[in-house]
Amino acid sequence: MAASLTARLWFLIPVLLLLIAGLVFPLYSLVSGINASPESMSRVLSLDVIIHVQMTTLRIAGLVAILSTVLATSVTLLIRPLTSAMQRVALLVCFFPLGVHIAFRVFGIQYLMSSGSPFSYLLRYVFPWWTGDLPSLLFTEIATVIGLIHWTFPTAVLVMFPPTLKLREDLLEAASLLGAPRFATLVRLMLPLLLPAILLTFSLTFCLAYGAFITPAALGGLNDITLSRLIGALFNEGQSDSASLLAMIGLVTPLMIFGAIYILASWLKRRNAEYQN
Amino acid sequence: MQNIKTDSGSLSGKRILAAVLLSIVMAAPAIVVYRLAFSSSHFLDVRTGPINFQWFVAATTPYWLNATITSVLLALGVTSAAIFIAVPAAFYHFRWPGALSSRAIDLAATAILLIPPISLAVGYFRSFGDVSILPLVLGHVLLAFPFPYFSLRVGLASVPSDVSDAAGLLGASDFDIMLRVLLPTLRSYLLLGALLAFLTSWDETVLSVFLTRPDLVTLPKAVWETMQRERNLTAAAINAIVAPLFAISIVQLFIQSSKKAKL
Repeated sequence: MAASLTARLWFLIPVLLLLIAGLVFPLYSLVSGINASPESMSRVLSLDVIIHVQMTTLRIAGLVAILSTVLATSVTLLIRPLTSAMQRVALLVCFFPLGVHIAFRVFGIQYLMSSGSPFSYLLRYVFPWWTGDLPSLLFTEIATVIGLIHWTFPTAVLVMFPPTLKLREDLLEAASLLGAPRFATLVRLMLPLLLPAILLTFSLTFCLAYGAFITPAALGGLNDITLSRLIGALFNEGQSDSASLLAMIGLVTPLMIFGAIYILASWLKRRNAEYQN
Repeated sequence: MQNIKTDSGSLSGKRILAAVLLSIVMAAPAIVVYRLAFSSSHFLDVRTGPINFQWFVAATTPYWLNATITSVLLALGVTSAAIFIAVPAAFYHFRWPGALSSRAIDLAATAILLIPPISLAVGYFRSFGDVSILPLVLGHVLLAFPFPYFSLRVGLASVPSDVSDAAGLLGASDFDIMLRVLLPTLRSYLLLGALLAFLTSWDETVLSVFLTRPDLVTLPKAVWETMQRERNLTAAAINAIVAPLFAISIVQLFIQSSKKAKL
């Protein structure tokens, strides 16, 4: 018994050391570091600013998560019936951005949104009646959202693809044999079966978008400062107490949202398993 | 448009076109970067000038070479450490799935994926102060750990329990079962996890920018800082070389793992 306990401990020691040194200790320092008085804090940062920034970040992250999840679900459902070779090609295109450094990807998006880019020519083609200058998307909330969708999309496909591949063919064939139209099969059979994966993809992309720094810093404007950008700015100015407070908010918010969605997804997964059996 | 026969019936050309268009839109910024790598201009303009290899030549200057070597060494070290930690942790979960500690590791690995790196950077600065390399390595290992861990967990879930039970009955210790029975069958999962861990470290910018002193330059830090100061496209050339390698490797390993998981 003692030998078994020792063996178990050996398997746990590396991960325990990592978690204590790399996660628990820094988080403890973060919490214990917030020792400034409310008066000194309010000189640097008002409650209104914190609420405004938090709401902006939640709005951007929510929009990114919805759009990224919808795109990833659509793409994986389209890829699913393809042959292995075609799946490889499609996934290669989806995952290609993963190999390109994030800083370059956002500068690529900057270029695509600038005037004189192929994107602006496309807008001119779509809106030929527009005679004046087209409104610039660069350094706006829309640019941040597009950049973040581009960043989170490969991750969303990574999460969505295996469950989509595991959809039971016999259930889909049964629906088809019973005369269900394709749309009804999608809405009433495939999507409910994929709902746990969709919820997990949503929550993961939400958290990634919520905590993103590089993309909002490169593409966002002054009116849509996100929490991470504000933390970065305060950190660079040496306001570490305020930065710590915001870092704590930034830490707790995504964990709470993910936790709530995870519980819902787990319940749905159990219900689906019963349904499939 | 002609329909294409697939594994499970036919797929309309319109749907393929939609998938291809969407994929092109998603890949467009990367394609721009690719073109910039061969640009003769110092500006973010893909149309100016003929194809030029100046940025590939510039990539061999000491500054960029050092930054690349630092990043490669860091990423290799981080990947090795993440694998070294993830293998026993994943095996622990496989061997004792109901244990509270197994669920706690799962929870911690998930939390690591969700924590904003900037919050972590502030915590590291509070904990370690102005020490340059230790918090950087520790932070990278922490951020990379969930990828091989979850990849191996998925792989282990597809291994029949009879295999490890038989090895145990034949007298193999837990370490033997992990290293000599299970690990060889999980090569593709291990490689996928290792590649994602490598990419996490290779791509990680926030910790590198906020935690390192000026004398320690990693490639992400060099890219981020030079792109803000000047239009230096050297790192685009480096990306042009490594991006296809990463993408092909990920797809190959991902498809292999997905197929095995399906079985």
